[in-house]
Parts: sequence; C-alpha cells; structure tokens
Amino acid sequence: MKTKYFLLPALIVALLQSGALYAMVEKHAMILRHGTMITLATQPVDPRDLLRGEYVRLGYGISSVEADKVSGTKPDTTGLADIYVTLKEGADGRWSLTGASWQKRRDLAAGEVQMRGQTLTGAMGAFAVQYGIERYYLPEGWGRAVEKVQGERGVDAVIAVSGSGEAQIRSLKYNGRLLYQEPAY
Amino acid sequence: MIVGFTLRKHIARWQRDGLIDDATAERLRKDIAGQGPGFGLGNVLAILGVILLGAALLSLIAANWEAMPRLVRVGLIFAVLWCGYLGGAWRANKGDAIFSEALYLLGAIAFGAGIALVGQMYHLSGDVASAALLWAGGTVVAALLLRSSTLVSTSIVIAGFYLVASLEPETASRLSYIWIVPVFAVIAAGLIWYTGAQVARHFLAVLVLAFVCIVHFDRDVTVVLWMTLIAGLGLFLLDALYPDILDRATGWSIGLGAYGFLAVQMVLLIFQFNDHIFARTRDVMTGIVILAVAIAGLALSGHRNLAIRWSAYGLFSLEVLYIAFETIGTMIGTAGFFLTVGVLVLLLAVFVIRMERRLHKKSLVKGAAS
Repeated sequence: MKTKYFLLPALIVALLQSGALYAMVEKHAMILRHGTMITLATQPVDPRDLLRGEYVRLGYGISSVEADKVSGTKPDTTGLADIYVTLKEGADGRWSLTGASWQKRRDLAAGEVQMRGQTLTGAMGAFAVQYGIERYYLPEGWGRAVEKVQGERGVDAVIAVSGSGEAQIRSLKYNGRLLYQEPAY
Repeated sequence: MIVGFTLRKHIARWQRDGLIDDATAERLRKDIAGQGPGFGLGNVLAILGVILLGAALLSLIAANWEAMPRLVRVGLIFAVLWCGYLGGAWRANKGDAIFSEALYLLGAIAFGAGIALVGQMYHLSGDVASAALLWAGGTVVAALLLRSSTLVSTSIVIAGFYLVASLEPETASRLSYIWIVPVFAVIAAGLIWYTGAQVARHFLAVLVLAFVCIVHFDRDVTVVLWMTLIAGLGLFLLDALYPDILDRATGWSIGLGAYGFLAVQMVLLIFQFNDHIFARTRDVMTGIVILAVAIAGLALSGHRNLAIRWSAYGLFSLEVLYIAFETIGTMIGTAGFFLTVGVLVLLLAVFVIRMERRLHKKSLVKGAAS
C-alpha cells in the first residue's frame, strides 16, 4: 500500500501554495474592482529619469505631507511607520490632501477617502510618503509613450483605494484621454 | 561512491599483503556494494541531461518572458509548482528517494519565485521579510505533509534569508524576527525528528548561531550571549560526560556537543572582539578563558569528538597568536614579529602532534574498555 501514499499530501501542498499565490493576484484585482477611484495629478520626479527599465516613476502632490497637517500620536519608532492621508475631490476632478493621521481615522466626512502610506518618522518639516504607487511597470513599448507626455505635466493617475486604504494604479490619463489601463488579471 | 572506491583499493592491498583472507575480502566488498545507491556514470549523465534540459527551458522562458501576458506567466509558475510536488510524490511512491526530493525542491523554489514575481507583476507593496516568511511557512507545511528532509533543509535556509531580510528597512514590525526565528527553530527541530533529516540539523545549528550573533549586534543585547554560553557549555559537557543520555534523547550527541562547543567559542570570541573594539581591559583575561576552554575541549571530548578536537586546535592556535599580538606584538618590529610568529606556530605544531598521539592512545584505551 505504498502507492498513492504521497499523492494526496502533494495535492494538498500544491493547492495551498498555488492558493496563496492566487490570493495575491486576487487581492490586486479586488482593489481595482471594488476600490474607490480617485484621480491624482502626477508630477515628474526627475524629467531625465522618468523611465527606468520598464517602469515609470510617478510623483504626486501628496508624496510630501507637511508635519503640521498630521494628527494623532506619532508612533515611537525610529524607522518607517504607517501614515494615513485623507483626500477629497476638487473642482477639477482631481483629488487633493485634506489631512493626515498616524492612526487610521474612523470619522471620515462624506466624499473623503483615506489612503495608507509609509514614511520615516524622523523627518522634519515635511514627511516624504510612499504609497506603493510611485513606480508603475508598463508593458514593452508603452513606456516611451507615457514618458513623452509626462514631461508636459499633463498625466493624471487614476488610483483605486481599498477600504483598508491600500492603493493601486488603475490607469494613466493624459488630458482626460486614457493612456494605459491596468488589467485586473 | 568515492569512499567505496578508496576502500576497495585498501581491501585489495590488505588481501595482497595477507592481512585478511580471501573470504573476508569478498565479504567486505559485498558489504560496500550494499551500502546505498552507487554513484555511477549513468546517474551522473542522467543528472547532467536533466540540468541541460532545464537550462534550455529556462532560457526559452526568459527570452519570451516580456512578451507573455501576466496570466500566462502566473500559469507557468503554477505548472512548475504542481509538476514539482505531484512529480515528486509520484517518484516517492516509486521508491525513488533522489528524484522525489529534487522535484519537491523544484516545487518549493517555484513557490518562492511565484511570491516574488506575482508581487512584482501586480504591484503589491510589501517588504522582503514578509515575503520570505510566507515562503518559509509554505515550505514548512510542504516538508510536514510530504515528510521530506530536503524541504526541511530548504525551509531552514529560507528562514535564514528571512532573518537577514529582517535587518532592514527599519520598521516597527521588523523586530518580530526576535520571536519568530526561535519559534521556527523549535518547529524545524520537530520536523528534523519527524523526517529523520540529517543535513538539516547542521543548517538549524548554523541558523541558531547566526540568530544569536544578529540579535547581539542588531539590538546590542548581551544577555542572549550569556544564555548561549550557558546552553553551549551545557551541551558540550553533556556530550563529554554523559554521551549515552544525550544520544538516547536526541540521537546526535557528537553533533550537539560540537555545536555547543562552537557556541561557547563564538560567544567568547564576540566578548573578546567587543573588548578589543571598545578597548576595555578584560581583553587578556578573556583570552586566558578561551585557552582554558580549548584545552577543556581537547581533554574532555578530544579523543572521541573530531569536530571538537579540530575546532579546539583552531581556537587555541588563533588565541595564542592573538595574545602574542596584543602583548608583545606592539613592542617588536616586523622581522621580530615574523620570528615570534614562526616560533609560536612551530610550538603549536609540536603541541598538536603530541596531543594527537595522546588522544589516539586514549581513544584506543576507551575502545578496548568498552
């Protein structure tokens, strides 16, 4: 009765591990499908260095958060810590910062969206915040097209924000025209 | 097998010189032939062939990776993962110990590659440490369910990767390695017992020692060194004085004793290193303790524990040279320095040769008595 002894455990292992990988894929798809869409104006990070390999680097107005806008108790660590920014839609359809907090806020006003980022707590004056949307990998050939218009400062990024504040780039737009849309899968 | 090959040569010589008769020689040869699978030319060629096919497949995939849609890439990773585990199980059922373990390893590597590639392709944020932890966890589950000793070793290596990845970036959560690695070590020890893994024991011992070093230098705590010193000393003494008890409990008295001794050495050397860097005065005192430990190692376990014997020689020689450096090295010039070191090394050589003779005699006496 030695045969088929290991086949069932192997099946379970393969299912578990590919399940974990699939959960990662699905997490991304869920944010894109069910997240709140907000539009952010991008700023060129460094005009000569936008395109590195296959990804574009994107900077945002909310990449820098002034220290006096941050509420809540600052975590007692020397390194990276979570920070939550609150965003509201402006008259031109682009979203901008209304406030920030070290803790997740539960008292959001209507029309406000909360997004989670990470920053070094030791900074003075303003915090440089990373949201995981600063680099965007593009399929071959797309990079150059985006880079060309990026220099003219007209590129908007549509960001999907999940209920827990995680952000994913949904699409890149240029003067309202769709440049590239991220497929869910 | 290389050992078998050399042994056969010795047997032929013994037989020729009349040390053993023909019947004994034949029995010895049969015994060697019965020891495990041969490592013949056919096997080597088979493995080489598999490696070449794998390389061809890999370069084909790498060349077309960019052109493939994301889902195809994910599917490809899934295919390798499933082939690895199910293929390994198929070989294990056939009683093939080598290829089943190799295929399991392929499955585990595919899982790790999958975590990295999916994270990158789908822009998932997250640090390397948590990715490594997921990988290690998945491999632990696989090792348990498949009862694979190779996967136990693999998961320990991945845990080492996690330990190193935890050092940065500086976040509040990175310090969880301080409790995760010890918990992992206990789980891995259980898995080693369950799978009967041999090589993994060494990996685990090295992981634990590395953990102690990292905790000490990362968090600047000394208590972990003292704990290691006591535990190491305990293991070393247990192996030296009551090897039967330790063997009954763990089946690895020699190894545990040697790693205990290594732990003691490591801690003492770290103490000395810290003294040296911060120029405290205990420097030479620590040196004398280290010499005493080396001699204790030789006296108590040197006759039966080869690993302890050789690391004790190494430690003793290193320490003598270091103390010479510290005390008289600063007073003499280059030529005088080489002269001193030369004399010291020669004295050490005499010491080692005499010690070897004594230990050899001691092990013979012990062998005859038991």
